[in-house]
Amino acid sequence: MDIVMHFKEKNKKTLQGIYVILFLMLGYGLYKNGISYILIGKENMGEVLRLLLYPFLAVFSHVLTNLIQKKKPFSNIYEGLFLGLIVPPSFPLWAFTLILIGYTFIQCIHLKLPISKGLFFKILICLTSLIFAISYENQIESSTPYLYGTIDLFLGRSVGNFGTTCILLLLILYIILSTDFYYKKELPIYAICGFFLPALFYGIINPNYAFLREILNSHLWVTAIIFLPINEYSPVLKKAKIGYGFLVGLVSFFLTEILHIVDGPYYALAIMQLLFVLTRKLWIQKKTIVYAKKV
Amino acid sequence: MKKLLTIAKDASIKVSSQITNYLEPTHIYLPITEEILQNTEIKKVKKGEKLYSYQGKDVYSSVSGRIVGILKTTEKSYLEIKNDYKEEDLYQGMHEFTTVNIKTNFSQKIKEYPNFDVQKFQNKKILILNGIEDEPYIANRPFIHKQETSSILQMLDCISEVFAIPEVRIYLKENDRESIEAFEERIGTYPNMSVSILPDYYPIGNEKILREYVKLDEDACILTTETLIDLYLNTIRERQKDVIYVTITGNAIKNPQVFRVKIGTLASELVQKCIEFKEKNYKVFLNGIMNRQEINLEGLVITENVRAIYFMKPLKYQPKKCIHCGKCDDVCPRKSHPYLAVQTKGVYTNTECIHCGLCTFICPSYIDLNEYLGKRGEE
Repeated sequence: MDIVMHFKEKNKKTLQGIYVILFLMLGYGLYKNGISYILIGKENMGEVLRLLLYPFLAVFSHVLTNLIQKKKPFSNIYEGLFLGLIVPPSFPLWAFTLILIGYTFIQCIHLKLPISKGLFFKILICLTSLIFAISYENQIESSTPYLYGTIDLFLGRSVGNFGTTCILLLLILYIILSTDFYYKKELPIYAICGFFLPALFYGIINPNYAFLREILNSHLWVTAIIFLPINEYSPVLKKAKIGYGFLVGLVSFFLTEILHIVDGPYYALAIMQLLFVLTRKLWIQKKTIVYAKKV
Repeated sequence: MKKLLTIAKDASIKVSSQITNYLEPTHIYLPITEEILQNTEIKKVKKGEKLYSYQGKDVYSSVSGRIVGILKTTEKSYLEIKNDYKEEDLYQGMHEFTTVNIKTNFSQKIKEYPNFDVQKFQNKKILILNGIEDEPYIANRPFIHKQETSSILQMLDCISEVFAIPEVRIYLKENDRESIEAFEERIGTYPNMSVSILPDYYPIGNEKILREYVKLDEDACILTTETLIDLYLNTIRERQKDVIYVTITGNAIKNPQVFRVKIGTLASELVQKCIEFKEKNYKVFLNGIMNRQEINLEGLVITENVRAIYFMKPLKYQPKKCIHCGKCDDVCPRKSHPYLAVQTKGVYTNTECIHCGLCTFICPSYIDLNEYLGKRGEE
């Protein structure tokens, strides 16, 4: 039956907000990793141009994918823009290009992945970084005495991706996303709580544990705000949302401790998404059988 | 109680502030079965004359005229009466009454009235008049309120006194300004009555939702405006209803309006004479746009159950795969879990569903969830 009346999605303003924030992140990424480096006379303009290429290539691949899929070529450019921001600044351009080609190919052939495509992209970057021992550290920041102060962490002085270290910007992005009707805004809160509680407990029993550095880890916030609430890979029912969010936070805590402070949350979410998708399939099958019997 | 939604209205659908009378149809059509037809004589009938009983309900003619034949549609057969426009009334001289004996008459007549369950009104503490439409764009009740304010108040007073119900509340929607003004002007003489104004949420007009929203318990009994007017006609005026209010609306027509129509009028006749179209491609829906009961206008007879006819342009949306956003579950006012119904391909059942259509309305993948939930109804 044809639909004659439908909810009017007021997502235009949400999208505008996302674009503004992503451009701010891009600007901050350029300043932090390139321009400030030039300012102290350690690098030339080539470094800034190299950094600009990451988001440019990512947007280009996204537009290309949309053209191949016969969609509006500029629809959801923010996805492409975001892919450019989640690479370490010292990540080799050739490796990034190769990963982008693979990502575009997956999009074009509609390959079904058990985890979200953006997260899959990030996992590939994490694995490549691991293989080539790529550092997430910014050289200027590591050379200053103000390294990793609480406010600095909040405003973006920390190890991380090209443009996602500023938690303040991430929080603004979260507020903008929360205004979107279809965004599961409660999930990031559950996940952060799921991370916060064991971290707090561990901080109490272990005086050497850098609690603030752990909780103000921008990778945890990127995972919680952007990758975790993706509708297709997250639960629907309220209780399941609470459980899933807390579990993601908890697993993130353990993996940041065991593996790596930077990559831990991404691996944790990838594992949880994989498990969740499989569990949901089984759950639906079970429910169908149960209700069919009742009928 | 879950938070209800305000449905953004289509600005192109503006129901006229004036009511249109369509009280002289060329023919009227009354539902009939083959068995009854065999025992029916071809004769002249008067307005208000009882002709036969159909499915346990007495059928009355809403016009005076002559039985001329039968109309057969795919679903039903109808007795065709040609209007002679004389309006010869069977009740002439019978509906004179005095305000003094209204309550005595009412208490006697109510016991004989078959469509009224007396048990529902005994030992109650609050009598509620639900004056809120349960579907968007229907505007029958505001017009009834405006035209019949005194009768409604009189009737509520009768019921509250006869059944010893101490409190009467009239529930109206905040944007129904005319009804609010009409009641507030006249309610002063009834100290036990009050007007309660509710927000423009959907589906607050539904009895179950209304009960939950205003937290009414078993001590409250609810009547709708239409039921109250029926009661008024049958018990106090001692005559049968021959005219009903019908909203004809939608974004495919130029002049949405509320009509007063004779029961039995052919909908296509009314539409042909009174409605101007601005779109050629449209879908016709009966009594609601949210529960989407699509119909064919040809052969549709306006009976007591017809409240609205919608002419809507179909939107160019194709259903997509579920993205598991869970908004259907979030908006469901009855916690019917439409998400489960889609995931289990309609196997999941829930008797709580009131088919309000909010899940379909909200779904970003344009899935007709109402259809999945509808399978239960068909069973």
